[in-house]
Amino acid sequence: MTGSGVFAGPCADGDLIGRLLTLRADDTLDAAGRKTLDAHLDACDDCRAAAWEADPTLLFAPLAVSADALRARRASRWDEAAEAAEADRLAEDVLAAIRARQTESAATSRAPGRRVALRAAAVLLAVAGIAGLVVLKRSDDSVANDVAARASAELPLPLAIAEGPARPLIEELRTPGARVYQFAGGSPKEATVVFVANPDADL
Amino acid sequence: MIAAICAAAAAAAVIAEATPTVTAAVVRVFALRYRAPEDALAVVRPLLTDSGSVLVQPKGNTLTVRDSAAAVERAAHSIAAWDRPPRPIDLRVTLLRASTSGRAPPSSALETSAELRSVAERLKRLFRFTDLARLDAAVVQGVEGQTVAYVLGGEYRLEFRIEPADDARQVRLKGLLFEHLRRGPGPGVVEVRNDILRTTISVTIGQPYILAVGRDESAAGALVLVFNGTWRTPVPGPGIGGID
Repeated sequence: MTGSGVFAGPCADGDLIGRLLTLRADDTLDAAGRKTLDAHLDACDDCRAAAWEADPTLLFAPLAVSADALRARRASRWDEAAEAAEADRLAEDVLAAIRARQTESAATSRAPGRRVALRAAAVLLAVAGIAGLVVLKRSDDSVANDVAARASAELPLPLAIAEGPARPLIEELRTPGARVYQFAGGSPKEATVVFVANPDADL
Repeated sequence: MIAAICAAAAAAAVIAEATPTVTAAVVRVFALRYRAPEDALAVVRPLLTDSGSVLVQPKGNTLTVRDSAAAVERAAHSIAAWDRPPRPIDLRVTLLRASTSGRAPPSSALETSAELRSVAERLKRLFRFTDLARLDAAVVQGVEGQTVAYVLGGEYRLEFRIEPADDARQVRLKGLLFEHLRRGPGPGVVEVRNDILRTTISVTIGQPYILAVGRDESAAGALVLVFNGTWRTPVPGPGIGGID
C-alpha cells in the first residue's frame, strides 16, 4: 500500500482514505478508523476501485468480521468450549502470520504482482484457517503452527495453489498468469469456493 | 555380579544402537481389476520407504511392489480402496453471472431455490458481488472414466473427464475446460472457442463446489459455476453427454 498517493481521483476524502488504508496495511488502524474506512469504501465508488486495485484483499469480506462471527457462534455452544478456544488460537496464529507477512512484504518488496500474490496467499490461508475449521479443528498446535509458517513462507510466482490440510480444491491450473483464492467450507454441507482471477479470460 | 550384568546389558544396548535394523523385503504382485497400473503409482509411491520400489506391468495390468512388510501392507490397503469399479454420477452444473454493477437481473429469480440461495449467501459473504443471475443449469450424467461436454447458456462450453479421486467421497473433474463460444469472423470459421479456464478440480459428493472466474480481484463481474454431485444408482446403457 502506498498511501494517499494511490488516491488521485475526484473524491474529496481521498487523502484521508489513503492514510487509513496505509494504517490498515501496517495493522495499526484502530476500530474507529476501520469503521470509517469500511463505511467510506462501501459508499464511494472511486475510492473503492482505487483501494481494490492497490489491495485486492479488500475485495473479500473483512476477515475480522468472519473471525468475530466464528467466535460468537462457537461461544454460544457451551459443550464445545474447548473447540472454540482451539479455533480462536488457530485463527489468531494465522492472522498473526498474515500481519507479519504484510509488514515484511511492504518493507522488502515493491513489485505489485508479488505483493498481490503474497496477500492472496495470506487471504486464502486465513480464510481456509477460519472457514475450514471443521477440517482443522482436531489438529494440534503443530498443525496450527504449520499453517502459520506456510502463510509466511516465500511463494513462487505466479501464485497458484496453496497447500491445505486436505486435498487442494483446485489443481493443474493451466491458465498462465491466473491467481487462485480458495475458501474451504465451514461444514461438510457448506459450499467450497474457488475464485480464479484470470486477466485473459473471455467472459 | 550385578555390576557385570549391568555392564553386559549396557554393551548389548550399545551394539543394538550401532547395528542398523534390517527388515526383510517383501514382494507382492497386485492384479488391478478396474484401473490402469500406471495410475496406481501416485497412490502407492508415497506409502513406500526409501528402499521400496514399484514395477508397472501394463500388459498384465499388474503392479509389483517391493518394500518392507509394513509398507507393502499399507500399499495393499490403499490399492484395494482405490481399485474400484467406475461409479455413475449425476453432476448438476449451474452457470451464474455475478456482478456488482446492478446490470444483472434481480437475484430474486435466482433465489427461488434453497440450494442456490445458500450459494448466493456464501458468495455475497465472501465477495462484494451484489447481483447473481442464473444463465443456465444442466444435469450432466456420466461415469468415472468418461469425458463429458455440455453447452451452457448457449454460448459457454464445459468439458471435463470424470475421474475417481483418492478420497472415495470425491470425484475429480480432470482437464476441465471452460470456454466462451463466439461467432466466427467469417463464413469459413463458424465458431471460435475462447478459453476462460483450464484446470482440474475435486468435487466432494454432496457438497456444493463454487468455481468463480473474474478478470481480476476487483472485477465488477464474474462467471460462476456451481457443481453438485450425487452418486447415481447404476442403470444399463451409456450416460448422457458422453463423448468417449
